Amino acid sequence: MQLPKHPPELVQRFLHSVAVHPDKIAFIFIRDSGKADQLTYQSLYLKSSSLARRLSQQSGNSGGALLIYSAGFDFIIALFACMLANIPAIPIAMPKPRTKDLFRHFLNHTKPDFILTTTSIEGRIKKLLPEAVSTYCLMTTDSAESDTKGFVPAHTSIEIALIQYTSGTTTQPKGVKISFENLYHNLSAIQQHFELDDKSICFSWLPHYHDMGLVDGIMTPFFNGCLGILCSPHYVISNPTQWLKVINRYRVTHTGGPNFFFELCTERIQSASLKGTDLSSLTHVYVSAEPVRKKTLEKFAAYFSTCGFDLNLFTPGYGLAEATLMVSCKAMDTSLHYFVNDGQEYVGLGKAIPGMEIKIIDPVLHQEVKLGDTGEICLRGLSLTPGYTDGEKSEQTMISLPASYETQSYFRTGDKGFLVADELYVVGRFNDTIHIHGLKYQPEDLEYIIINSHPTLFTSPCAVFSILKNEEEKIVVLLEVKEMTDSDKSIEVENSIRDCIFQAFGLTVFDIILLPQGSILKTTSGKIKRSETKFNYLQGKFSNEV
Amino acid sequence: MKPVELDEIITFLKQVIARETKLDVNKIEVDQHLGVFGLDSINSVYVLQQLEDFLQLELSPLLFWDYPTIKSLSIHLYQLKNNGNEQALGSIR
Repeated sequence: MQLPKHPPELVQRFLHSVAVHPDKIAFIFIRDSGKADQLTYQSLYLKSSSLARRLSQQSGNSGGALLIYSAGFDFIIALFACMLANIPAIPIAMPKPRTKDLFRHFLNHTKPDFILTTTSIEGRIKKLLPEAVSTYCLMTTDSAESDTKGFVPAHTSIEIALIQYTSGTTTQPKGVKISFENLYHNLSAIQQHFELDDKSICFSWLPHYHDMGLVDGIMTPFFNGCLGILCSPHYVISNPTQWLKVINRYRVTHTGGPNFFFELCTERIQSASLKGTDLSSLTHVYVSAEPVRKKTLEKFAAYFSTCGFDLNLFTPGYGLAEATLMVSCKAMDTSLHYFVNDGQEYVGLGKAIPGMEIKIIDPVLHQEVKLGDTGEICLRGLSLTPGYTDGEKSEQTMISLPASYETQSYFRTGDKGFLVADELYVVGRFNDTIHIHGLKYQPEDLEYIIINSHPTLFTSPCAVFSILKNEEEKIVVLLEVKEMTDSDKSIEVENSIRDCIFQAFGLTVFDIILLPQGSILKTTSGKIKRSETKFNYLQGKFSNEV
Repeated sequence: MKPVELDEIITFLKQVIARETKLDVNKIEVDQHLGVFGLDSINSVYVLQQLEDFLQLELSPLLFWDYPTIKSLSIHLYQLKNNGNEQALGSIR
């Protein structure tokens, strides 16, 4: 194999920003207390260099480095250090006591070379999983002093920059491998689409371990050599007025979030705090990661019109980690498009970015649907990532159209949608993934936690799925129990289910039904037939069972 | 600063949780785990924030995971408030 002779273009681009304006502020991080810290390009480079040197001195098989951080500079430094040292970065959410077992599974599967974290979180990890410390190289990165030596990236570049665990379940983790080339392509597309340059001001509060917060929130600013303003999700969600204040104060041009956040803003921001708030610096606001609702956007635009906000500033888009981040997005300075299909109105998510192709394919017939018909959203192009860490069989994730028609194969997103005049509209999903507040959850993970939450449930068949209530996904739990005579006992079981789902995932359960044995449909191999079970639930077949 | 009694913290916590989850305050039992009331990662942020305002303390977002019942949480907050020991918890933020 011939090794590349230069560091990846993406890293070169970062080094270029450092060389051109070392003293420019790369990031401002606003702490939950409101105090703002600054990090210059030079300082980011020196700190990441010093960590990169530490990492490259330790031998490893480049199973990657697990990054367990709360939002802040320590995470950004660790991320850039991994990129400089050519070690795939694997950012994950903070493990919670209730997800200890899942975290252990995850570590055994991923076998990272390093676990990077801060001194305060280290204690937490040690308490949760003492054996992790002896098995993996646990390294705290916040206490280290930075030097002035810098670090010249190794010239033998491995191609994977990031691994994102957004698909698969925790017991069978499936990480999306994202290459430097993927990132370069997607970041270039984001730059062109939103006309970003070194004068842009980006602002993100989205989780740093999630594709949108990571690629758009952290990588976009440095890719464009501009200022990135960051805070924790907690900071804006606890008080969405802070979101307005940040935009107003720093004259933010580029920001966004999932649909639910804009709903939250109209609900929680008092009209009194709109006075004196100027949102006119915004050139666009992206909305992505969950279904985009016309009602939410219109309500938001009407409420904030006095602050200089216009409905058409919204740029709804479609994206996923398997395609690095952005797949399609409404163009700036155009009006929103709506399309009615089967009595339901959908918001247009724009055309595919240059270098990416969207095809709507009939997953049964393996052919493209008729123009305007609904089918599975399938993708091909330069932002499409090389695959999963488990090297999953290709027929599950890729689909080929008959050779006579076209020879290329396409990635199956599992999402259901249609195209009108090349613009994408998403209507739902083919798979069972649950989407709440912009994050994805696998039903298998919830089921695993539930049957381990109460001693009597250990071998109980359990089906978790989501249903739509008031345009929001809500969690339903169906569980078979061996014997359930008194109601005290069933309340105890229901309470323990509700609590474990909150403790493990921060989610609330909408409905729990305890069923006699044999009620949940299974395949001959014993796998839960989730969608059939959901269908029966919606038909009211399980009401008042026990 | 005026000391806060344990009962006051418990009462306040019950009221806030009832308001955020739209439950009857009488249904909120102190020994029950917090997840039972229908809290999620979004509304628990509001509970936390109102607690911070009430106690004039900066609290860890992981508080509900470390102290999963109203009782254990209230006792912890009471100690925190009256010993002035904010560092221990605030450091994880």
